[in-house]
Amino acid sequence: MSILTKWQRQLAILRLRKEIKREPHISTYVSLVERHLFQGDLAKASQVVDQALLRYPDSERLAVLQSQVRKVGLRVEIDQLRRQILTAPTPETFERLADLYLSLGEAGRALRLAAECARKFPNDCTSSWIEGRIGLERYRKHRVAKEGRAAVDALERVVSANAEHWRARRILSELYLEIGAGGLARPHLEALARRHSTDESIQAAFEQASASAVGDVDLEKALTAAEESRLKIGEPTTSSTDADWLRRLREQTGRLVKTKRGIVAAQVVGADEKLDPLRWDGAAEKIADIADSALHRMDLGGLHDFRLSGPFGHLVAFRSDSCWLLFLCSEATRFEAVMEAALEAISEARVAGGEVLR
Amino acid sequence: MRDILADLNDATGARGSLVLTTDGITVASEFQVPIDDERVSALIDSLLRGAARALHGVGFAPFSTAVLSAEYGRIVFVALPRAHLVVVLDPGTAIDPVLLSIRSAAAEIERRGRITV
Repeated sequence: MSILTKWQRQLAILRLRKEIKREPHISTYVSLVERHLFQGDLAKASQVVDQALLRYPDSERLAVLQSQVRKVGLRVEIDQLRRQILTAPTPETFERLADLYLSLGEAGRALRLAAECARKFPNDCTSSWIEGRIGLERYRKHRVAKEGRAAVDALERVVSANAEHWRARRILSELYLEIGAGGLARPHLEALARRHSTDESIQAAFEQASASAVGDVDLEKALTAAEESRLKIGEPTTSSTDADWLRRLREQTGRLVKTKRGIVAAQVVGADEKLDPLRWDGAAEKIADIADSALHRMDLGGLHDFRLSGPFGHLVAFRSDSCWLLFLCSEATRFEAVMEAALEAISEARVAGGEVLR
Repeated sequence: MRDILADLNDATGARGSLVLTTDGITVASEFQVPIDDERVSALIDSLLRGAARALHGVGFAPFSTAVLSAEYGRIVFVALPRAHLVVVLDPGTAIDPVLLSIRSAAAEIERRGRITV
């Protein structure tokens, strides 16, 4: 870069700073941040966007920009780790880099990194640990049995190689419990319970798993059943309480009430309390507003849904277009399933030409 | 306290977690990327107070667990006797499976007892 170009860029930054002092505006802050990023000065870009957010805490544009600056920061660390892997690789460096890729949603890169780690350190379990976490993330996203199997295999390899890999034992036992294979979770929870003898949650999970017989669990069957139950969510059944009240919800979409503020409320069968839509209207809107504003300021974007649990049961709220759908229920153990079914119910009501939604 | 949060982040794949007192003061935090603890705690404190007030307005007791899902992430709050545990997760994270680890961390924080600032 010529001295002249460098000088011109510095001058542009100085002009923007002066403009901010004279007449601050969001777009001027954005330009200044982009200039700093272009110059590769991440620290200053970060400083300016933070200052801008103090002045304009509700600006979505600045919130998104702050998130981008942070991502660039992660990219800088990624470059450092990649260089480190080229010169002096360690399993820990591979793990940290995979973590960063995963936090950016780049599972493919993390997976390739795991393969490279396995080639360089064939006797180390880090590659299996990375594969296991990716597999678990994919499984929880899609609920495909094959992906669940891959996650289990990788995590079991980790535990076989290092019986004191507590994180692997923990997520493995969570996965087993999640698919109803308590018997398979038992040895891991037993080891965890020995190590964390005062941890009531682990002790409770261990007791839950102990109720399952070890020999009776077929992993393939459990994963396949979990996959099938995922596909059947929302279909009428008579056994599951979740499915039951979701079915009733579908039948009762006509009971959904549109309130003055566009919030839709529903009384769900099984609720312990009466849900008065008009009374809840203001409360839900207030919670949603406060949460929306706070989440934006924390670079997390706009609020989609929220669930509050307490002595009253579960208050679950979902945003759909400009409306909120509220549930007050005593059973909300399968949050993701509830959300899907709720959105489906809204969609059905709309298709049916109901007066529920705008 | 930070060791509990670091373990929790590892176990749940969280971006970060923090403990703040019911007065909104940060006790400990552990995030993948540096954050302004005080600012985030202040935001969370105002959010929790606002939500609790709204629930009180309709005659309900304060919540013990809250899950907020947004465009770029999810936040889980667990109420402790004199503090809150806050965990920030990626947007696609399934909540129910990681709640065991989060409650477990909350129990460990509670077990250690004294929260000092």
